[in-house]
Amino acid sequence: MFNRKLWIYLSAALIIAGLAGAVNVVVNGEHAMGTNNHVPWGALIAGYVFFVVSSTGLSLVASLGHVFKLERFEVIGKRAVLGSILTLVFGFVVIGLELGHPFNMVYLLFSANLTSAIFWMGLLYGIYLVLLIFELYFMFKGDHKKSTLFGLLVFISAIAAHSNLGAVFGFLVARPYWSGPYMSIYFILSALLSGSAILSVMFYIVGRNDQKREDFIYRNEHIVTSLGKLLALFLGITMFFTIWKVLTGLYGAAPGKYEAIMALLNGPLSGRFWLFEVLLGMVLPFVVLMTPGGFKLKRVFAAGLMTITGIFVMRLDLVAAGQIIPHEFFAGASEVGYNYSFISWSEWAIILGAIGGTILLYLVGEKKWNLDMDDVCYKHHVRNCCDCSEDRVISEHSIHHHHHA
Amino acid sequence: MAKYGLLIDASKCTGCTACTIACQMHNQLPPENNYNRLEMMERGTYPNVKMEILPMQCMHCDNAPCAMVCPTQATYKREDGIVLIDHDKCIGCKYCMTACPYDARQLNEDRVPEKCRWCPEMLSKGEQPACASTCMNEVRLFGDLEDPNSELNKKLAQVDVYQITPEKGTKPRIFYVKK
Repeated sequence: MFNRKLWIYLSAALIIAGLAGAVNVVVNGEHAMGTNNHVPWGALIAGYVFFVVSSTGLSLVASLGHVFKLERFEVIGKRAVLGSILTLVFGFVVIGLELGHPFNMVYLLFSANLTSAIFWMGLLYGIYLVLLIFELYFMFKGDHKKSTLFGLLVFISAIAAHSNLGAVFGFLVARPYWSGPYMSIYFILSALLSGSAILSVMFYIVGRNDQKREDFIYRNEHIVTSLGKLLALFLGITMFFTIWKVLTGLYGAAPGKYEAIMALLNGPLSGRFWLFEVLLGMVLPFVVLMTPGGFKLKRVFAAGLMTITGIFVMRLDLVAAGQIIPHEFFAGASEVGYNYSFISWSEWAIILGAIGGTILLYLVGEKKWNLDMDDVCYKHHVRNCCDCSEDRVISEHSIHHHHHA
Repeated sequence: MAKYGLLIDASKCTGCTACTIACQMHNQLPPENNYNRLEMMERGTYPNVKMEILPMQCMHCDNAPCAMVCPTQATYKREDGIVLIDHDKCIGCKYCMTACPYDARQLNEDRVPEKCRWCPEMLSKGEQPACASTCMNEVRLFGDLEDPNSELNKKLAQVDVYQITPEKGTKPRIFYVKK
């Protein structure tokens, strides 16, 4: 049984821990964090990336239904968009605490630097958030024309904002592990992975009390099963990306890049990399899904949970691996050391608190609003209507009115 | 308008760190902050060993990645080439720190990534900054790259120079004498 109270207590506990961490960081600044001059970006940057990747992923996967009109995925619409808004907002909370002087962000307006990817990050994610809110608003109003239009704008802004986040790392020539176009592409891919994993878990929990509920079933397939298939696809692509990132990093031993890859494979980051990123984040969920009976709801749920945990560690490793290799100033130096950093309790607390906040506000949303599919779409589901043209929008409206009459 | 540059002859450096301390005094820095430093590396095996020393500080790059990535133009490059940071505009994102291939930035107590300023208040008067004037072996020589008769340009015409990691595209303004 879905125990709402238990979730509320759990998220409240996380929020309290998060507040304690936040107070410590606000009062003691960088002393409360595991960062230093050689590793300036730490767990809070990774946490921020985790949240905004989730947000992008949720809205990209949601767009399959209400932008690209794959009817199978229409049912995830409102829940995904609400989740997308909440994860984005808590991503902002996490980075707001990471910044030394968040209020100076007004200078993003008065003294913008157009060559800075962080300036564009602020602008594009800001636009993206506003568009998401409009999209959800029109979804609630049942205005399909406008919600589809804003869905498309959300899709475009999500791609722009999120690939630009990749470029925040990719533009840094000083950091060979990050530098290049890979990050922008990889961020979009990993957003799709995050989105399908989170939605698998979300819809399993939402539908847990009634696994036969009709609106989740489309042509005899439960939405969680469909999401599991997407998850398997994106897991496969992520493995492919990871393999080539590793191989190109090793081949030819490019300075800085090679050492960073070795730190992941056989250095200070190797435990995290093999155990969490590779085993828990990719191989196990893929095996769980791809063996016979793999798309049963419980197994998709388990695979989703494993993937989310793995993705979280992927973000920590992504941020750490880019900075772990010291800059090389001497020609022909033979020994490579590592830059040291750690994750402080405050950083853990802030990230967990943000997760708690997302869950709590989501539960409020579930209670206050009807997040199920509109009746019109649902009727289309049952009748297996495949016509996705303009007339359908019109006919939807007529059905809608008829239904309410 | 002057165009400042710096020539460093590392082979003359004894590793006494007077430059680091003189800078800390001049800029009133706490003990844990220093805007210039000596990177050291041992070469060889006993008894054939050598300590290589490299004085490092902000290179005031012509293609400064820290200024390029700064979202609010808090880090900016003056016409004379000096790269400075405006504390009031800094949001504390530390992007400049990850962008710098020389580890020139140091976070201060106010969570602003500070760095060597090349002391424009000295250079504009034709004086050498504290790190240079305190040095017993005259390892550093600051000067105007645009003035053909500057001591810096005279010296540059006599020696072979190299720069640190020029492949990062930074176009640094510090030149090191080849050994």
